[in-house]
This record gives sequence, C-alpha cells and structure tokens, in this order.
Amino acid sequence: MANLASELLPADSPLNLAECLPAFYDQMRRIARSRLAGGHYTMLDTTSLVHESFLRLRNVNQIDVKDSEHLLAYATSTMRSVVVDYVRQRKAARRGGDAAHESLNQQHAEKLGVHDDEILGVHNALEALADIDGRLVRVVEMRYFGGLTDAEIGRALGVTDRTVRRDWERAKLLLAGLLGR
Amino acid sequence: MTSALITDLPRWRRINALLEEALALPQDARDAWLAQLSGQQADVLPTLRALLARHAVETDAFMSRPVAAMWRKAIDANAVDDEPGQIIGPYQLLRPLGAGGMGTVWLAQRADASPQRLIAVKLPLRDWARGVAERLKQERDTLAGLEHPNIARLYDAGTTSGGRPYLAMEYVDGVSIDVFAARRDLTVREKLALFQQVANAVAYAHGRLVVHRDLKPGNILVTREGEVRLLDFGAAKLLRDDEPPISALTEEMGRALSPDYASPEQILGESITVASDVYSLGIVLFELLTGHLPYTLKRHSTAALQAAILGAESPRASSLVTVNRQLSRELRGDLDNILAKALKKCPRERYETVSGFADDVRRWLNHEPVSAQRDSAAYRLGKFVRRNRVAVCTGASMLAAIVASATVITAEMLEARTQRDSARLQAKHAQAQERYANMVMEQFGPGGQPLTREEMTDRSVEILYRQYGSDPRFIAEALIPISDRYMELGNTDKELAVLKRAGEIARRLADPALIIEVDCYLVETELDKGRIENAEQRMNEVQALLAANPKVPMRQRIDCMHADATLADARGDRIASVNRIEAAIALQERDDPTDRNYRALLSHAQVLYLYAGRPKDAYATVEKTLEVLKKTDARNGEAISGSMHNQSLALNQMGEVQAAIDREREAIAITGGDDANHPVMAAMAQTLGRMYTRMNHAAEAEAWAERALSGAREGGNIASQIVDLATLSEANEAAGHTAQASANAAEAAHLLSSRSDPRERAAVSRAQALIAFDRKDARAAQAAAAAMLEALGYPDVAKVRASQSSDVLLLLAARIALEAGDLPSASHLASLALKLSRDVARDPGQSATVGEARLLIARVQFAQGKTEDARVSIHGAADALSAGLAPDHPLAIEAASLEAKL
Repeated sequence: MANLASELLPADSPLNLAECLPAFYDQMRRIARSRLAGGHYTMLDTTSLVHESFLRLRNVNQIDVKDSEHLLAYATSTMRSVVVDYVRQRKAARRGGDAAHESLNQQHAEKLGVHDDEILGVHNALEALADIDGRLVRVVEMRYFGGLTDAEIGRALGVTDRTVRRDWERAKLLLAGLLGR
Repeated sequence: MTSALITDLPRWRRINALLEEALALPQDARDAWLAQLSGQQADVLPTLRALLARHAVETDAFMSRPVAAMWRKAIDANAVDDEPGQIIGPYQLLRPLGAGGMGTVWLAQRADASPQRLIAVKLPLRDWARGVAERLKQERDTLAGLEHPNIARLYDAGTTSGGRPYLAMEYVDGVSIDVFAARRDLTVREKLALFQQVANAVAYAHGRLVVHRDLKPGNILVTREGEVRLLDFGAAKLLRDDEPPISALTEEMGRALSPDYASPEQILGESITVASDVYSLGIVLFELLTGHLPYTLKRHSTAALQAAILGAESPRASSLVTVNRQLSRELRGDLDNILAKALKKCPRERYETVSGFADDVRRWLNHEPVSAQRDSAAYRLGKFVRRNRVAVCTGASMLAAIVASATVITAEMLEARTQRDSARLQAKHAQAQERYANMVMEQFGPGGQPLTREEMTDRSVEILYRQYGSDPRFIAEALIPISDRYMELGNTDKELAVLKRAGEIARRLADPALIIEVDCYLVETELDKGRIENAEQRMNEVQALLAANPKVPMRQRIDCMHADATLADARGDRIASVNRIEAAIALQERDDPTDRNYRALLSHAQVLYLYAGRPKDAYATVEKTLEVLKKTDARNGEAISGSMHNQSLALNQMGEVQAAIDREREAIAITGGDDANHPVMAAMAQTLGRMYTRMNHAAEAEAWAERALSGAREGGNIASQIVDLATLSEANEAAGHTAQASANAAEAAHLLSSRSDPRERAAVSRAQALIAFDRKDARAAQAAAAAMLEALGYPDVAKVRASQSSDVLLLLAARIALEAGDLPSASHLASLALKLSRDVARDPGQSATVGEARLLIARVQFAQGKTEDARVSIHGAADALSAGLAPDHPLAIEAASLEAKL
C-alpha cells in the first residue's frame, strides 16, 4: 500500500506518524468500537475519531490545523486497510462453507458478495491509480472509505470542493477502466 | 510499486490527462472534441470514448454505495469470531441472544455430559479483554456471592485457554419489565409491586457493596410467573474500558452506558455510588408508570447532555400523563413526590438508600403518608425559613469548567482542564473529596443491613478522622456539611460536637476565615439550643476576629451578618435583626446574587420582617425571592411554596384575610397538596385554620386546624402544637363543638405551663378569651383578655407594636371590654388597634382589621352618644370588611347595619 503518511508530511514534521502508525490505528479502533458499543453509531464520524485518537496518543491539548488535515488523510487510509482486511476475511469465510450468522438469506449474501468484490477491486485498482495521479487516490480514500464530505476533503488537500467533485468523477471512471468494467 | 493492472503506465497517464480536459467541457462539446483528437491519441480513443459514455450514464452503480458504513462491521470482530458450537471454557455456545453494550450474549450449555441447564454466556468486546480478565479476578467472588431470588446468578467467570474472558450467568426466560407491564396491562399498584421486587434485589446487592451502575428496563427481566430477575449486576464496573478518560464525557461514551438511564454524576464521570442506582431506579419507575422518560437525552450532542445535567429537575410524573385523567390523579401528590425525590439532580437530595425508596413505595401502597422531601428547612412557629449552609452539589461547578461545543470533542474541552499549578492542587483536593464521598456512601452495616441516616453520618465522621488525619483542613471543611446533616436530623448535640471540633482545627491552622465560618455556624446552633448567652459571647469573639482580619472573604462576612441577625431576633431585638439581615442582603447582592445563600438570606428576611411587624416589607421580599427562584431554582416547589406561605402571612397581617387564604391555597397547590406531615404543609394548615376562623368558616377552620395539629404532633413540635390547639379550640367553638373546644384549650394551657414564649401565651389566652366570650362568661373573658394583653406587653405601645398580629388581639380585647360596658378601655384598645393596623396595611380600605377597628370605635362612640363621631368612624368600615373578609361576613353586615342606623 502506498505509504501516504510519509508522502503527506514534510520531513521535519514533529509528528512522526510512521512511528505511531500502529498505535494510532489501534486507538481509532478502540474508540470506534467503544462508541459503537454505546450505540453511538453516528459518532463514528471520521473527524472526531481522528481528533480523539490523536489526542489520546499524544496527550496534548490542541491539534495543529495542518496536522489535522494530514491526519484525516492518514485516517482514511487506515480505514481503507481495515475494511479491506475485513472484506477479505469475509470472503474467505464464505468460501470456506456456511456463512455462519452473517446472513440468513441468499439474496442478501449475494448482494454482499457483489459489494465485497467491488471493494477489493477498488482497492487493487487504487494501487495502480497511485502511479497515475496521486491526488485522485487520496480523494477516493477520503470519500469512498472515509465518508468525508467534499468540503472536508477540499480543506485537507487544499483545493476547492468543486475540484474534489471533478476528481472524484474522474477517479471513478479511471478505476472502472482499470478494472475492465 | 507498479500494479499488475497496468501494462502501460504512460498510456494511462495520457488517458488521465485527456479525461481531465474532456470532463471540463460541457456534455455536448465532448463529441466534437473527441473528433478532433490528433492521430497520436488514436490508441486511447476507444477507451476514452467508452469512459465518457459511461460518465454520461447517470445510474452507474459502481462505487455508489458508501463503504464507510462497513467500517462499523469491520471494527466489531466479534461477529466473525464466535460460532454456534464453539467452546468457551466449560461451555458450548448454542445461539446468540443478543449484542449488548458491552459484548455479545450467547445461550449456552455445559460442554460436558452433566445435567443440562441453560446458561447465558457473556463475551466482552475483544479489545477490552485484557482489563476485564484482571478485574474478573478481583470481582468474581463478590459478584458470584450475590444470591437473591430476584437476581440472575453469576455462576462462573473465567478466561479460556486462549485468554478470552467470559461470564456464565443464569439464563432468564423472560421479557424486560416495561414489555411485561405493557403486555399484561398492569395497574399502578401491580407495577409498584413489581418494582418492589426490583428494589429489594438492588438493596440486597448494596448491602453486599455491589452497585449495579447500569439499571435499565433491558436489565430487568420478568419471567412468565411474574418474578423479577436483575441482570448484569456490577457488570458495568467489570466490563469497562481500561483507558483513562481525557474528559468526563469521553468516559461516558467509552463506557457504553445507556445515557437515558444514567445519573447526572455518571454522565459527568464522577464517583458512582448507591445514589446513582437510586436515580436509575427512579427513571425506570417513572417510565414504567407514565410510559415516558422524564426527558429524552439526545445522544450525540454535548450541549444536550449538559442541558440535562444543569437543567431543571425532572417534571412531575402526573403532568406527563394529563391525557389519562385517572392515571394522572393516581400519580399526583405522593407518587409524584416519591419519583421527584429519587430523581433529584444532586445525589445528596435523593433517597439515601434503595430501602428508603422502597419503604416509601410500600407506604404509598398501604395508604400511609410518605416521607417528606427534605431540604435544609427550619421551621419556626409557623414561619418558613430556609437555611442553607454549603453548596451541596459539585456537579454544576465541575461542568462550569467544561466548555460546551456543538461537535463532540474539541480541543477547547481539554484546554479547560489544563493544569496550572494551583489548579492541579485544587483538583487533587476535589479528588480527595470525591473519594471520601464515595467511601462514605458505600458503607453499610456489618450484617448487610442499611444504616440509618444518623448512623451513616456517624460513620462518615469516623472515616473522616481515620482516613484524612494528615489533612486537617479537609477534615474541618468536611465537618461543616456534616454538622448540617445533624441539624437536619435534629441532633443538636452532635451538631455542636462536630462544629466545635472543626473550630479547634481551624484555630490550630490559625485560619481566620475558617474560624469565622465555623464560629458563625456555632452561633446559630447555640441559638437553636436556646443558649443565647453562649451565642452572644461567641458572636463577640467573631466580630473581634473580623475587625482584626479585613481580608476575610465576603462569603464568611455575609454568613456572620446572617448569624448576627438571627442572634438579634433571638434576643427579641426586632429592629436590629432586620437591619442586620438587610445589610447582609445588600452585601450579597453586590457580591454574588446568584449564590444559593442569597435565597437563604431573602427567605430569612421574610420571616424577620414578619416578626418585626413589617408585612409590607415581608411581602416585597417574597416578590423578590420568587423572582430569584424563578431565575435559578425553577422547580424547587418547596422554596416557592414556602415563600408564598410567608406572603400569605403578610397579607393576613395587613388585614387582607381573603387574599391571604387565596395565596395560601396557591402555595399548597404547588407542593402537590397531600403531604400531611410535611413541615411546611403543617405551617400552611395552621395558618388556614386561623384565617378560616376569622372568616367565620367554621367547618373548614376545624379541618385545617386538625391537620396542622396532627402534623405538629408527628413532628414533635411543641410550640406549634400549642398554637394549633388554640386555633383548633377556637374553630371548635365557632362550629358549636363546645366540649372539644374546652378540651383543646385546656390541653394548650397545659402544654403552656413550662414555656416562656409570650407569643404562645398570647395564643392560648386568646382562645380562652374567645371561648369565654362566646359563652357569655364575661368575667372569664375579661380575665383571659387581661392575660392576653399582658403577654402582648400592653399598655407599652412599643412592645405591643413589636408583637405580631397584636392588632387583632387588641380588637378582641376591645370587643370584650365593650360587652362588659367598659367603654374607656374599649375605646383605647380599639384606637390603638386602628393605629397599628393602619400603619401596616398596604391599603387601609382593604384591611379587615382597620374595618373592624373602625366598627368598634363607632360602636363605642354610639354607646357614648357621640353620633357624629360615630358616623365618621363607621365610614368605610363596611367596605374594608367586605374587601378584607367577605361581603357576607357577620362583621361586614354588622358594620353596614350600624352605618345605616347612624
């Protein structure tokens, strides 16, 4: 996977994300899980997850705006890997026999299967897209995997949201093309 | 790294660039643009065309579904891990029962061949596993030791060989209590009976030092046979996340609590105690009885959480079910009060134990009066005074340090908690206080029996000395609210003892502010014991200290002025007492009018004005108090009704009797009406008894006076009993129940023998005079009237003026004198009465006392043959009597007929 973290940050950034990568991921998972457990589904919004994870890790009382934007990009990249792992596991389980209690009806299972395939496909194609147009990858990660709005993405990447929308459209087309669809 | 997908990177880069160009063009221009692409791009043309065609299609499903939602599932790995048939420890999982806030619950059975019993196995979330396993070791025995018919047993708790912790519990085949109640359409009584099962179970657990922490309908199941089973006792403590919170609110969200049932202190992350369970039970009962939650908490918003915490007390249950009139009527009054007490924002104000809560429910079911809502209210001879020594809750002040924000967690919240040196020290102190409070509230008797409130207070003192010996300042500060508790419990000796100890410490610490604070409370306590000389002496010492220490903070200064006012009042110096309380109020207004102390001062001022015979000022002060209450303490019914009661007394003093009755009834309506033994209620009943007597509504007067008397008897208040007996005997007489009148008057006289308060003497003499007068026993009437006048201080005008309601008493004496033919005395008495009543009246034209005085003067003058003077005197009397009493009142009629005659 493209190491976006190091790409995004200037070399002299005080925040060494590469170092706290696993911890950050861990933190996000824990927070997300506990919020889930509390039934706070809508509190899984990425921005706050990211902020809180960062705060816990660093034990500071303020996040620098620039860090915040980098973190968003990083976090969505993280979310991508988490989801992809999960989807892979699910596929394997399904291939290996009864889908357990994942789904009780066949139609549902099929729908899932279709969606899972799309996710894996996008993931693979993104690898290729990284060499074609790096910004597009970020946009896809933030939008598709991270669920961020165009405005949020624009802020993080330093472009207008109109640009973001156009990038998104183009990215979709290219990915479709790469996947031979 | 290059992907297998790309065989020709430069080609795709070109496609990308061209695509960007094409998409920048409007739709219809694209075909033209494609057409004029140069031959160099021929190889990519098909791809471009295909992609652009795709773009033109609006309904492309590709990448249209948000994947972000899958993040949820991805995070929760439990679903992937556990399967039916899986072995967890000695158990085999059968099927999932549900996913709770803290993990998944499975139906299971023992994996070996032993006799099959269905078991519920709880598997906590994987990420929390580490912390849970450790805590299990500590808690397991306690939780497994909970054996109660209404608690689902914890059979076993352990970790698998793979290191996964699990809990094995009794499987309960039942539905949650709200569903059960709805399905069987239970009545209020039946619901309460169910609730008692719940309360018994919780009380039992508290006796074993286990707090539930997560009581909600989902955790309270009921079997088909109608037996309650509580689930997840202590599980919340066990199964929480280990990570220390950044802010209190984070803790809440990380703890998977149901916010709707969590107490304010839980939401704030403060220490969880027995009182938290009381609160949660209160919400459960509220919902069970009304079908609604008292307020719904919007989960996502910090501001909403805050609003609920800082906001008003819960609404009264009966007011939420107005559609169902019968239910509303059932709930109104005692059940409202019971719920309100359990749901107080401040833990200290709730039922101290679940047993206490259950006891009140039992009393309601048996139609017995329930325990009153407690506040620091002292009650003196019919006047409602509200004492308030210390800020009771820290919730609001804690919250004040946390900045509200619309988004969930922002850096500002953390900023508020930034530790500067002094702040850190303060925080440590606050922590100590929390820990201590926690320790105290979790203390119970050795046999698991809950302690009485006094025993708990004793215990808290023990703990204080034992655990905090190294921090004498903490001890001294903690002893002050403890003395408050003893005051409420009526144990003045212990109150004195702890205050004296606090004073010793304060002197050792040589802290003048602390010494002054403690000593001023001591002044009030000595006054309560009637030790005026001791109180005076101490006050002098305090004044000396104050003079020597100009830097003593405002709060202590104001407290001392307050105590000084009380002292002056005890000495009988009405003028000084009023001046001092006015000074204290002025200072408080300048310093901080939002402080609770302001309200306490105002309410005390109401009383002092009434004692000083300044009803106009009392009335105005009540108006002020009500305004302040409206702004700050909106739902404190007791404070509002207490002030209105005092206002009714003021109206009565000003001769507006009917208005006073109306006000009093308003005040009663606010309290919810039915607490017969509520101290304020007893005062109101006493007042109504007297006023209805004056209004000549004998039956009503008797009823209210009876009620007042039973309240006074229940409270053991001798002073009130005397006055109530006197009032009752007058009412009896007016109703024609002469035997009872004599008996009650005699009892009042008997109780009076050991007392020295002239007010009480005056009340008894008055009753005797009235009864004798009614029975045409002139000599007895005159004797009693003489005794009454002496108690008033007559003929010393200043003394008479200083006694409340003396004008009415003077009129009675005047009437008796007139009947006996003693015109000069009658004239003098009536004239004095006229002067006094005119001085205090808001509007002499509305004052019944003024009217009656004029009537009597006119009668005297008429008897003396001074018809002209009589005509002048009678003018307006009938109107005043009509306004102050009623148009059909005997006195009004008498005045009208006399006027007609002249």
